[in-house]
Amino acid sequence: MRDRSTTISKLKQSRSFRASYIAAKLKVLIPAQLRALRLKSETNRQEDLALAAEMRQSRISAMETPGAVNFNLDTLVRVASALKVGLVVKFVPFSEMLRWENEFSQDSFNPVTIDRDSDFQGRNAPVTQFYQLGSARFLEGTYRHSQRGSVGAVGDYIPGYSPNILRPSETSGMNVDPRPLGGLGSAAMSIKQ
Amino acid sequence: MAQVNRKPLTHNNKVIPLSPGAPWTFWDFCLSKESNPIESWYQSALSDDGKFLLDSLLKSNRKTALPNDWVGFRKFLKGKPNKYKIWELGFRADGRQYRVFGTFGTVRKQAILLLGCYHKGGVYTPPDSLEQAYKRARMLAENKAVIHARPINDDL
Repeated sequence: MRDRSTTISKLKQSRSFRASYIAAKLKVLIPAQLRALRLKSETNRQEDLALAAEMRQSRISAMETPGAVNFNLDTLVRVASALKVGLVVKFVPFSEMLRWENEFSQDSFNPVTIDRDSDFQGRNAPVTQFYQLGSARFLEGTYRHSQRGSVGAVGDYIPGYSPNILRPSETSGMNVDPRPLGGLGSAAMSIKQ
Repeated sequence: MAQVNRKPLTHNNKVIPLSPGAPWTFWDFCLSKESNPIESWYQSALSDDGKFLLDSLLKSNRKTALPNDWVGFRKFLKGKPNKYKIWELGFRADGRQYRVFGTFGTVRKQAILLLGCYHKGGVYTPPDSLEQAYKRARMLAENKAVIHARPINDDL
């Protein structure tokens, strides 16, 4: 195992070291998520997922092997749609990436599929389940989208959101932490999907 | 009509409940306190990519209760190694298919790494990897070797 302080100083100094570090996390966590999702789905064989995603079974097997596949977005989108779940790809601070890794557990990872996603389907779902206090820029952006009516379901929630969520007018000029929290980002990307 | 004892089954000693909270622990096979072949292999054979990948792999798998669900878990080896339930963990780094052989310890949720090697076209390198893994598992079973904890930190 590595010494913590050495690793941190190397991560600060070397771009290639950082690249290796990030890649290693993704090369384990993406296969772990795929495997967890597949095993918890109704049709849990690799052949079934391959059929749904219009891929070969050997490709699914490779995707579940850490480091064996260089995932591109198209592949991830194809698998996510076959598994009926959304997908979030976002740039985050290293600390947040680590937190994600630390908190991730294959056993407890079980995002609901679109068929059972009552928050996504229900128009009167409480907004606090969707949005957390976070990026003012994001809220503003979403609000504008909803005004134009281009986002559809999202627009239904925004006007009535709970008072502990900042409205765009309240956040303008404020020094708000620009880091989006998990729920916020997830909701955004899921809806975009 | 004969009376049937309908006492509910309150305890079945065949069912071992799994406590999800307890993570797996990973250990290195060692010949003595000074000699740790797993750590030597980790330091010498693996690049930064490989080291990070193996660390992440163990970090993720320790939270997964069933080894069959571990990401990268390939199989229990057949033939002679099956005597000691030797399994194979696979990952790919630096254009190579790495394999780590391991076995389970006597303590619950204890996984012992026996040997690291790589694999291409059905051939392990070094070629006697399987034999070595078997030998090491046997040494452990006969208490001729020691194990050393492989620390897996939650944070950097």
